[in-house]
Amino acid sequence: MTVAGLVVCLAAAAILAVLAVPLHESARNTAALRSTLADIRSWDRAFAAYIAATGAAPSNPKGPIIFKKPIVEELAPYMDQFRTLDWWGFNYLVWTGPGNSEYGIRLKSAADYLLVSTGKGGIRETWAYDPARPEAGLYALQGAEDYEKDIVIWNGRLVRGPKGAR
Amino acid sequence: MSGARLGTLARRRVDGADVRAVLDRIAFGPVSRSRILAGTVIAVCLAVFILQTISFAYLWDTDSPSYYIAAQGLRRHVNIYDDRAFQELGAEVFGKSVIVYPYIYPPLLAQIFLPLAALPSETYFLILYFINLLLALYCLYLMADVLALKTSGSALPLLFLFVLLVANHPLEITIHHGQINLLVLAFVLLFLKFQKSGKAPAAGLFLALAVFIKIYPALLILPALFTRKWKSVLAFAAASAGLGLASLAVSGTALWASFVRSTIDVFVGKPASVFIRGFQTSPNNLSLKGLLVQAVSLLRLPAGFAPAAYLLTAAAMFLAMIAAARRTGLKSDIPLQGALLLIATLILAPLTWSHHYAIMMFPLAYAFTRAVRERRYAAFLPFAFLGAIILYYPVGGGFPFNQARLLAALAFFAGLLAFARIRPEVEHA
Repeated sequence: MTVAGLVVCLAAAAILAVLAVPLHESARNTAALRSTLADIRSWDRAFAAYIAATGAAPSNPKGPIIFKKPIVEELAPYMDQFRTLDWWGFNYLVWTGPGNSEYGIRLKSAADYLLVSTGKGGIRETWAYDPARPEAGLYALQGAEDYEKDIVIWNGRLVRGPKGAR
Repeated sequence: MSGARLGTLARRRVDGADVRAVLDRIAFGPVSRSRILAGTVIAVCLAVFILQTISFAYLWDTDSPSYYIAAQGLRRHVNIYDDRAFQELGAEVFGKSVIVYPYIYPPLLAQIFLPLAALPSETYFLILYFINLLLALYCLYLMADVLALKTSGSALPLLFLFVLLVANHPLEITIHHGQINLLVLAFVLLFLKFQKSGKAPAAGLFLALAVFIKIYPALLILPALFTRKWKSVLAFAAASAGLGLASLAVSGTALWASFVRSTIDVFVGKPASVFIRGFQTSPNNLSLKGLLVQAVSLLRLPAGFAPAAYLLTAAAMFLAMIAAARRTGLKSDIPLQGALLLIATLILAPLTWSHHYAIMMFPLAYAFTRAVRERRYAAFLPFAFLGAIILYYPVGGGFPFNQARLLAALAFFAGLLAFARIRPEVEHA
């Protein structure tokens, strides 16, 4: 091989690497979304089982699920595995019971709950639920910015998240 | 450069021998022997390392508070393996805002920390930071000793150690968290050093010390068992018995019983603590068990898949090592045994966080030293690629991307076994 050939080979390898980076990032995000949705379904099933057993959701008025909060101990018997962080590394958020109002959704009864992942960026969206168009919060995944959107489950129903996820 | 000269250069033929000649010149030529250059690189690395970590003297994170609380618990006769009691003590000492991770280490570590726990917490964090800095440097010294870098004929392996000091995200987190990985690594390296020089009692003592801080370095006694070095095995057993009895005499049997129960729970049972259950399934648990547990839940595999796959993988790793030892110089290459088994501890422990991967410094240094010493430079390329993943791949991402470091460590293990098939040109032992 000549020096010129070697330089061409190295340049080709560098271009391939540059092309591979966005593909890899996209695959990582898709996997994170899929894993987060699976987790959120698992939390949702635990909520349903807990509510069926006690008639009310465990109390968690302030949002983030962290291990020191009673909600984790209360739901633990209903879950084989649980993760308090989503697959981008941010805490899942939960609001339960009357008096809480998030995303334009007012929780009225003791069995009402909202389960949230704040997506890739970890920052909550300003999106608000529209009761006239309940499906309006579902979106098609088209680009990197869609992974930044929140995933919101309200009383077992996906109201914000990728279309076809449930 | 003129166009004509450029054209001549472009048409010049290069082959493997040319590349090797250039690398030989770098590795063994006057550049590598320049003490001024080596000294400058080392000084720059040390300065960068201190600048990288100095803020951690004050901005401490999760693990160091656990050791402090564990030692405080011993002083106050609290069962430190009862998560509720431990968290209550943590809240009393640090306030409820500080998350204190559960203490899952043997009681001896908490006993070692007893003198430090007598200090105010801020002083304790500062001292722990300096201890970790010194331990990082001592580990480099021990690695240079175990890998016999004095006889390598090149300064590059030594410089590579200092590069590993600064280009090492797990090490940075280790110091940020105030973890004790470096103490365990130092004890393991001391074990390897004394094993090499045939000083079985000292080797046994240091391995026992490592095992009484974290259990999994116990794997490092396996080569002595298989090669029937009974003196080493006996020395390790005697040192373990001595340390265990001393610890029991200080803490009492109830604490040890709690530790054994909680450890068995972590490994085979369903842990009582939600904290530990969360640990096991966390996306950041980069152990084989973590990967399998996540696979079962996310891919909806049968529950029996995880233990079966774990046992099969562990058996395959050990069988591969035994097969390699039968055919090659692995039996006498104590540093390679150490490198392989350190990786095995990362893979097979039930809880492995990204900072635990700091101990990959030694396997990386082994691969680099061997590549330079034997002038098989290309052989280091796959290790460099895997090393970059292990030291820098971002934590998180969905399954299985979150396990990239673990998968790279498994590939590194296989790569080192391939190295083991080649008898070293310079025997280490």
